[in-house]
Amino acid sequence: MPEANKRSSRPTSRVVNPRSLKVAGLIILVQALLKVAVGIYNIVTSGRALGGLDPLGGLPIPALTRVFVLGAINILIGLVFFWVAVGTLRRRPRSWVLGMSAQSVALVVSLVSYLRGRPDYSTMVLGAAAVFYLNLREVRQALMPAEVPTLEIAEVEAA
Amino acid sequence: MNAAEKLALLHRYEPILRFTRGESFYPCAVETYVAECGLYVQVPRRPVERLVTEGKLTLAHLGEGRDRGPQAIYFLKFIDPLNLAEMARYRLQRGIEDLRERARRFSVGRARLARVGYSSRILDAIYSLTLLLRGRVPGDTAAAAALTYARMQRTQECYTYYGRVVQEAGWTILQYWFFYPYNNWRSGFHGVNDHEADWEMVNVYLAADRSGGLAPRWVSCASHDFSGDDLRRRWDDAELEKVDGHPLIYVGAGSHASYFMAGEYLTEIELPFMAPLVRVQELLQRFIAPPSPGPTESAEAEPSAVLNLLRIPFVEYARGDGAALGPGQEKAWQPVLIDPPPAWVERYRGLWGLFVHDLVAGEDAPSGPMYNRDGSVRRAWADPLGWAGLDKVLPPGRVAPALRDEIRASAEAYRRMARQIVTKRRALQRLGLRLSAIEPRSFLSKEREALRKEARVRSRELAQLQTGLTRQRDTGEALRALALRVRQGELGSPRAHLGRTHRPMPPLPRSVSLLADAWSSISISFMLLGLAVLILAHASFWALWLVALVVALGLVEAGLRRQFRGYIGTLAMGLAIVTTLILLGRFYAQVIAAVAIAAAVYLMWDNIRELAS
Repeated sequence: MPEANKRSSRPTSRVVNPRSLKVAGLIILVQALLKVAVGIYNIVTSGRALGGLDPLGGLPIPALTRVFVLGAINILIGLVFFWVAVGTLRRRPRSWVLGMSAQSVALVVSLVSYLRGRPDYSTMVLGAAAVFYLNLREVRQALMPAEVPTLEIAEVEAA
Repeated sequence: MNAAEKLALLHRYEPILRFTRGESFYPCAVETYVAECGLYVQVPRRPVERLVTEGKLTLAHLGEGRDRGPQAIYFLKFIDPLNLAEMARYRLQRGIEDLRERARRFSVGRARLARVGYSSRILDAIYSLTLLLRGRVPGDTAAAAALTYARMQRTQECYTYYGRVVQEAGWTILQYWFFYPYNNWRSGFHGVNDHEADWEMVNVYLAADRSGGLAPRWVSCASHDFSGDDLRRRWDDAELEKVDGHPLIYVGAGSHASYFMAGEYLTEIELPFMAPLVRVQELLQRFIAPPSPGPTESAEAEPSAVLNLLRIPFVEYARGDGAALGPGQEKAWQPVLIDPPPAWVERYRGLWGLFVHDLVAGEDAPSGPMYNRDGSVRRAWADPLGWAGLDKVLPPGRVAPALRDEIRASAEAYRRMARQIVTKRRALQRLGLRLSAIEPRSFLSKEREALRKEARVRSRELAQLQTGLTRQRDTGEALRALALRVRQGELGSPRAHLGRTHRPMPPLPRSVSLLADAWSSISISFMLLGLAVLILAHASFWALWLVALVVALGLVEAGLRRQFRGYIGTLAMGLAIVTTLILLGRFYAQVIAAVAIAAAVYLMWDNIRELAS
C-alpha cells in the first residue's frame, strides 16, 4: 500500500471542544469586537474633533484627549479579549486565568460606571455571561489539560 | 488472666511515644502529682471550698467518694501562679538554656495563619479576645507548672503509664493511659488551650492467631475529642510505624494528642455561633467551585485542603524530633496496672486540675481516665471497641465460621423467598383465572372490581419479593466471594475503613513559606491601617474602596500562596453574581417577558415539529 494511503487510513485524532467552551469563546470574541469598535469610534471622533471636523470639537482639548486615551484603552482591552477568545477556542492552558482576570477588570469597571450613574448594560451582560461560562466544569477541565485527560474523537469512535 | 499476665501482655506491646522538641511535660505518676495538689469543691452559688490542703492530698483521699450533690464540681489545684520576681527568673533561665541548647529549642514552623484566609484571621483575633472574657488558666501558670514538674522529676524521675486489659467480643484490648501534669498547647505552642492535668490514651487490639496465641491486629490512639474509624490503623498498615513490635506514636507538642505520622497538623475549630454561616459557606462553595483538582488528588484530602473561611486554624506540632519514651528508647516505662480499677479511678469523678469556669470548657482540667468532665463514663473506657469503630469488626479467627453461618442463613433466606414466590405466583394465577372467568358477566361487576384490586396488590407484593430474591442472591454471591478471599488469606486493604484521616500538612518551598508567613502576620494590620486611612480621608464611595483594599490584599496573598487561579475564579464569580443581580433588578420585567417568549417559541416549534412528523 502506498505511504500516502497508509497515512489517510489512520483515524484522525482531533480534540473535541465542548459546546460551552465554544460559547464562552464566542462571547469573549464579541466583547473583543465591541471594545475594539468602541475604541476606534472614540479615537476617530476625537481625532476629527481635534481637526475641527466634528461637533465634538466644542469640547475642550483635555476632554478630547481623555476620549482619545479612552479609545486607546478600549482597543487594548479588546485586543486582550481577542487573545483570550482565541486562546479559549484553541485550549491554551493560561487562557482561563487570563480570561477570568480580564473579565474581573471589565466587571469592576462596569460596576463602577453603574455606581457613578453611567451604566453600560451590554458590557455587564456579556461580562457576567462570559464568567458563568468560563466557570462551567467542562470549560475549566478543557482549559486545564494537564489535570484532566482530553476526549478524542478517535477514542469516542473506537468506543 | 492474673495481674502478672496482664502486666506481661501490656509490657509486650507498650507503645513508644515520640515528642516534639520543646515539650515540657511527660507522662508521670499520679501520686507525685496529687501530692502537689489541693482538693477543692465548687457548689453553685457558693464560694469555692478547700477540702484537702496542698501537700496533704493522697490518692486515698480521691477514692473516698465524696458527694455534695449532683451540681458540685470537685477539682484539684496543682499550681499557684508565679510572682513577678519568680517569673522573671524563670524567663531568664529559660532564655539562657535556649541559647545554650539551640538544638533542643522549639521553633515554630509555617505560621498557622499563613494557611488560611483573612476571615479566619479575623476570627482568630476575636477568639483570642474571648479568652479575656472566658474563664482561663492564668498566663504564668504554665511556667509555674514547668518548674514544679522539673522539681518533681529531679526528686524522682519516672515515666509512667496506667494499663488495663479488656476482653470483649473475641478481642483483647490493651489500654495504655498516660497522665501529663499540664497541657500548655496555647501558651507554649500557639494552640487552642491550656489546662492543668491531661489524660491521653493508646489502645492495642489483640486477637487469637492460628496457634492460639494473641497477635496484635489494630492500634488506636486518642486525638482531642475525636472517635470512630479514623482513629485506628491496622497492624500491617504502612502508616503505623513499629520498633521491635512496639507501635510508634507521635505526640502533639503541648496538647499531647496522638498521631501515627510525624508532622505538623492543621486542626480547625469552629466557633458554635458561626456554625450556620459555615453551612452557608459550604453551600456557596459547591456553586462557586474553584478549579477542579487533578485526578491524582486522592479522596483522602486533608481538611485543610478545603477552603475554610469561618474556622480558626491551629497548628499541632507532632514532629517527633524531641524525647522518646518507651522500650529501647532513652527512657523506659514504669507500668502501673489499673485493672480492676482502683478507687481513685472508679470513685473520683472530679477534675484532675483547676476548674476555671470556662464556658467552652477547653481551659477546664479533664476528669480521670474513666470519666468525662460532666461525670459520665468515658466511651473510650467503657466501650474501647466502639470508640475506635471496631465494634463492627470480627476478630480474624472468628471471620470464617461467622461467614459460614452467614452464607447458610443467606441461602436459607433465599430458599424461603423462592418458596414464597412460587406460592404467591400460583395464587395470583388462580386469581387471574377467576377474573377472566367473570369478566364478561356484567352483573358480577362488583366482584370483578374487588378481584382486580386484589390482583394489583398481590402483583405488587410478588414484584417486591422478586426484587428481594435477586438482592438476596447477590448478597449470597458477595458472601461466598468474601469467604474465598478469607480462605486465601486476603485481609483486604488496611485503609478501607478510613474516611477523612488527619494527615500532616504537605511541605511548601521554604521561600514561599517565609513570604507567606511574613505576609500573614502583617496583613490584618495592613487592612486595619487602610480602614483608618479611609475613615480619616473621608473618601467618597468608602465601602467600594474598602472592598478594593480587601481584594488587593487578597491578590497579594493568593500570589504568595500560589492560589491565584482559585482566587481569581472566585473573585470573577462574585463580581458576575453581583452584576447579574443588578441586571435582574433593573430589567426584571424584560427578563420575565424574554423567558415567556422563549418558552412560547420553543413550545410552538416542538408542537409544529410533532405535527409535521
